[in-house]
Amino acid sequence: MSLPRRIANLFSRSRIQADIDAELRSHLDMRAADNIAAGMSPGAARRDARLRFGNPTVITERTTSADTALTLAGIFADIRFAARQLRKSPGFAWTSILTLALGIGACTAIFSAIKPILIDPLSYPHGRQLMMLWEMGSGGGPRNVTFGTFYGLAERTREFSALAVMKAWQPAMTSADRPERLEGQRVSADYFRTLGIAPILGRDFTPADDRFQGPNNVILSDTLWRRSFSADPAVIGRQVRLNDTLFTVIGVMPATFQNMLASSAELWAPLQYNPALPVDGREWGHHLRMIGRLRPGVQPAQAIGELNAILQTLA
Amino acid sequence: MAKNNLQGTLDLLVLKTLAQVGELHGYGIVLHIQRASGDLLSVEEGSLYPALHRMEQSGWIASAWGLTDTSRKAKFYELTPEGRRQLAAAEKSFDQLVKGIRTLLRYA
Repeated sequence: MSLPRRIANLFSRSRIQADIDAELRSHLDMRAADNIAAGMSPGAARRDARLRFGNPTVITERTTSADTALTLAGIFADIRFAARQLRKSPGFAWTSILTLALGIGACTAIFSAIKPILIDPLSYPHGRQLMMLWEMGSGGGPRNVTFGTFYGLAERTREFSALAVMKAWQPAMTSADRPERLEGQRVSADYFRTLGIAPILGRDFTPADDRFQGPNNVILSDTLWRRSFSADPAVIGRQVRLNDTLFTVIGVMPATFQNMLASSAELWAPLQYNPALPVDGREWGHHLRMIGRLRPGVQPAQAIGELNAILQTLA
Repeated sequence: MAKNNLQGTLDLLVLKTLAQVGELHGYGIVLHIQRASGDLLSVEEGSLYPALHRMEQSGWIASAWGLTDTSRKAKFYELTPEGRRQLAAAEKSFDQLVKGIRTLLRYA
């Protein structure tokens, strides 16, 4: 049935009511007239017409409800009744209102906190392809990966288009007007490519940057670029002193880049580990966090199976 | 399986009447059903109107006020193309119902 029309009819209910009354009356009149023509007295004719017709009030009501969404009018009446009842017992009303308010407020607050973390997709291109990867500790719990694990997997994986590792880095920058301790990350060469975000200025890290004793290059966040370098586009190629070492600025990330994995990080330098060291050496330990980007169409379970198989061969 | 109930039967009677006679008011429909069924069927006259209005809301029939032969004001109904399709479906469904009941009654 056409619900919109029936709802619209609610607003012209009196007109519709009059129309229905007229229609039903014309029916009774015609029946009565026929009865008179058949020889009944006017009184008996009317009575017979009524009897054949049924209860006019009920018929009118049912006909009206065929034309209008009467349930809506009914709901409105219920709401008014409820409001009157609540006004009559304010204690009960306020208890209910407070209970509902606290309950709804708590649910909303928890949901708002959880939604960006658990429900929203990551703000990276094809965020669903991204996975955090952990080694399994002896107790079965997640454990940070070693550089050996990362290196071995990155060389061999087919199901991931890119793997990257990162660790926290807090260099002190002394080249600006005043020294500043910064939050940053040392990352493997493919870090930004894995996330799917490229620098807006300059260039991304390459494998040539991320090698043992490679060049000291650094990429800045948009906020750091604006704060300490006045958003100067000529910053590319400038030298900055970090932890008493000169680094060359090679790139600036876009302002839209949200670094989910270390939200306060403002600059990035390559990891520059030495893969020639023994993979089980204590130099590395379990201290790296790893992310991977699945190839399009690859299921997480499939990729995890592949990583496990590779790890067997590495061990 | 035939879908049917008494309401569906009333719809069928009304739609068929309008298909046979053309424009007709509610009282006329009552008279036609009674006459055309050889006095076997009589509709409770009032219950016709909720059905008529429901079918109008469904777009099967359309109504307009007009004058009867005896110059009385009455609301006339006629079939819409949608109503014609509905009539065909209802007839088929009713045939199946009758066939089904008859088969069951003959089952021994």
